[in-house]
Amino acid sequence: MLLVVLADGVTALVLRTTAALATRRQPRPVAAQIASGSTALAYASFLSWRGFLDREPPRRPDPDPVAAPPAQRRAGWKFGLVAAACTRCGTRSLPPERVCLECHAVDEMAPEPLADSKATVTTYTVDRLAYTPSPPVLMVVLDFDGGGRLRCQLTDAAEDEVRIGLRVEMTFRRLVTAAGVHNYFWKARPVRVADGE
Amino acid sequence: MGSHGIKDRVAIVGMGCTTFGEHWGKSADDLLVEAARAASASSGVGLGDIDAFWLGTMGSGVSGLMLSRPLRLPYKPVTRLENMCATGSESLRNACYAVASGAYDSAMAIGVEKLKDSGFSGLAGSQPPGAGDDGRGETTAPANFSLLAPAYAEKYGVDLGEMKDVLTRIAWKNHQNGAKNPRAQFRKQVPREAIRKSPQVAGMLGIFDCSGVSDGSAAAVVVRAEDAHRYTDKPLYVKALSLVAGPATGLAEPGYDFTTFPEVVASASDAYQQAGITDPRSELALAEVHDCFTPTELVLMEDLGFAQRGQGWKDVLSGNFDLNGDLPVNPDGGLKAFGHPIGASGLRMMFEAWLQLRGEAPEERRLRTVTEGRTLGLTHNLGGGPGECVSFVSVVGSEPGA
Repeated sequence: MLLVVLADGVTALVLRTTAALATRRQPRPVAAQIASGSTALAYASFLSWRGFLDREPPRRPDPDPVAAPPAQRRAGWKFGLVAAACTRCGTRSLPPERVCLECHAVDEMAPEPLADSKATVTTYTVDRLAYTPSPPVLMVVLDFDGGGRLRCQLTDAAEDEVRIGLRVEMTFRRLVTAAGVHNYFWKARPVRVADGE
Repeated sequence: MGSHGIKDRVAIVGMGCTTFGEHWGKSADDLLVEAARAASASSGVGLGDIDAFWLGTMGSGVSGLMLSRPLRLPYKPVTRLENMCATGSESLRNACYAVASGAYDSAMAIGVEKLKDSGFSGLAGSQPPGAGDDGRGETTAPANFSLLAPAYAEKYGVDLGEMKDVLTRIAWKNHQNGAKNPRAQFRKQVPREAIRKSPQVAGMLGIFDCSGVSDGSAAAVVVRAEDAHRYTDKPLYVKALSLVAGPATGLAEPGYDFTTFPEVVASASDAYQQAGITDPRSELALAEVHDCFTPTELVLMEDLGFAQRGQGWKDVLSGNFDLNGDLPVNPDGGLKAFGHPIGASGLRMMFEAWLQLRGEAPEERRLRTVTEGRTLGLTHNLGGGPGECVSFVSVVGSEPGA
């Protein structure tokens, strides 16, 4: 199969299937992925995301573009949400750090993938001043099942849906585009499909 | 090893503070010249006779040249430093240690910030190139601090409507005080209803829950305590200086509950031990605290030991921290009404202690606690936010040995 992607340049990929395909299917069917999203997208937001409608930005500095070297150094975390867990005491570090925040062991970390983990909102706020293509920013502090905390944005959710105790899952999304560079990172979204949990 | 402090070894003998506000006609240089000259005149020490300088600014300039150039200082040691919103206090702390060490006979701590020129709402720090994967710069300071309010209300069973009353009363009190201060950015009393209904910024916080973005500068001259009476009859003795940087785990591990700043508790404990204070609420004549947003001041009342855990909101509502309360907090209007030019704020707090403890505050905001004989004042300065911050606490006093 030849896949041609025409956006921000052109990418052509040649893909070949093997016998392993049947054992590596996406565990979550497309229908379930659609069901876990939110349909409450305002038409004006859609237009502004597509570049057809300029929204007046807050009186804040333009966001800085992502720099390639630090993104490359932290590729596991940035693109895979792979945190670290201390091999001595088990405490998770989000993002990965060299020194354990609990027992202070140095360089004794093992990768701890969290992209498929669920989490609970421990506190939250609505930031009406921050720069975002999707105002206002819903900011949540998450505590992951099994440990570890992350402050991040909540997406696919309305303001009045956010509450302490909300169950969320992680999704890889665009945060912002600055100086022509898209920045993708992980956001939380409400768990809408039980997903055999 | 241990923190021993420098109680009564150094004294402030002169201070200066510009008005804070929208100084469209003045540059950072102008503000530095004003504050430095005022502090120098207040101490009677000529600028050329001051031995060393510590200049605090978060982002209005770089290097010692930022001070030596506008003042044309001749070949003096000038250190430029930054420690987020605690920058002004950090410059004082370093100047005091330099004098206490014996390295210099006199030193000046000076702080400045020129925020209005950018036209931005709130603060806008610059970050080194990053991976865009750690939330830094993604949200604003009011949002970060707004996390305190619902967490506090939930933990202590305060109804959210009542919580809004508590926050409103803090802003109202600081505007009442600021209205009595000719140097303050905002000099009007504000009705509670106007505060309560002000446009939303983040979470429960409206515009009136946020401190003023401001231009300004403040400075202090410090000398060895035994030399202080050469310069003034009423020196202010440094009793305690404590600064801590937290391990920044509050946003990384679930133990932190957003109802306290552990960094403040640690720096207060260190400062009280240095100064020999056991009951701050009854021993202090005033406290100038970092009321960057209204819930911050509420939480600080408990972290600094002015109120019992979970009870601070009741003390706020009953007026215990008002100008005529048991322990006046932010009698000059605080960051809320005086304004918050970052590098200057810590020294501005000290300027109020300087005026009040020496009996030189204007009549309309003179403190009963001082006339009744209390001699100690506290300043508290914080940089960062809930979960990861630096905190500074000082204690100063008008009597040696006290």
